[in-house]
Amino acid sequence: MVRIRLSAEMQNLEHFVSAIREYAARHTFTEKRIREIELAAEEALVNIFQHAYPAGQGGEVTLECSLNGMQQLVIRFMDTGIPFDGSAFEAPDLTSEVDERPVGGLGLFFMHAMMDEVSFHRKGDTNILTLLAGRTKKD
Amino acid sequence: MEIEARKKNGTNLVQVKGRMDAVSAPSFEERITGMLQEGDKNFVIDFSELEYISSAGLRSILASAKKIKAGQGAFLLADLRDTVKEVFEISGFKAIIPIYDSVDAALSEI
Repeated sequence: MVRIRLSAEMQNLEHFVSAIREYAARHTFTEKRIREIELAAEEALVNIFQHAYPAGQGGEVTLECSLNGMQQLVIRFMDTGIPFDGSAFEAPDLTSEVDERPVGGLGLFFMHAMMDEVSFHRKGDTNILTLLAGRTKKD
Repeated sequence: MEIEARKKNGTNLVQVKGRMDAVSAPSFEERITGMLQEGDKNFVIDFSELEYISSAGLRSILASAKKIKAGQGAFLLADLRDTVKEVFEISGFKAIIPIYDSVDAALSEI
């Protein structure tokens, strides 16, 4: 298992994502699947960086990567910020025209599109976001 | 991410290389905005060497497309790799931003 803990800042995005990429590559996930995993992980991290902690008040994110018994990649992000539950997810309107389309709202959509499972839990003062990735993207 | 811009028959040909993620994406919009301010109007974006894009990248592209559209200009994307194309497909962006198989095909539309 890989575990890293860094401050919840955009400048750490690449540290987290490359740790996940290396772990997945070491456990023989395909290059295509790794790209999809990177995308879901970036979206999760950016949400945490931008929303977990009140502006001006820093905090940390802990990343854990492991494999479960079914050889799926389990990625867990933990923060001790504002309680967040993304389970009440609604897909954004993907059909509107360029000038009508709101800027944003796609992060959770990509997580769900790329991962087998996305789940949110709150344990004590900790938000736990778990991404589960099988060897190939589900249809 | 690297951005290289040049003119071809009066159209701005902008090549984007590498990764367009939440850290690098804003610089794309800044570059396009700068070119618009210089009076440039029509853009073809060459994505043949773009390896990765996230929602932040799409946001930067959408914001750029809106500005260009407001100035009656054209904004066409060309030569997307499979993994990048997939992001455009599942997000529905493929339906709202014109995408061409090659730079030449996009240039011939302007």
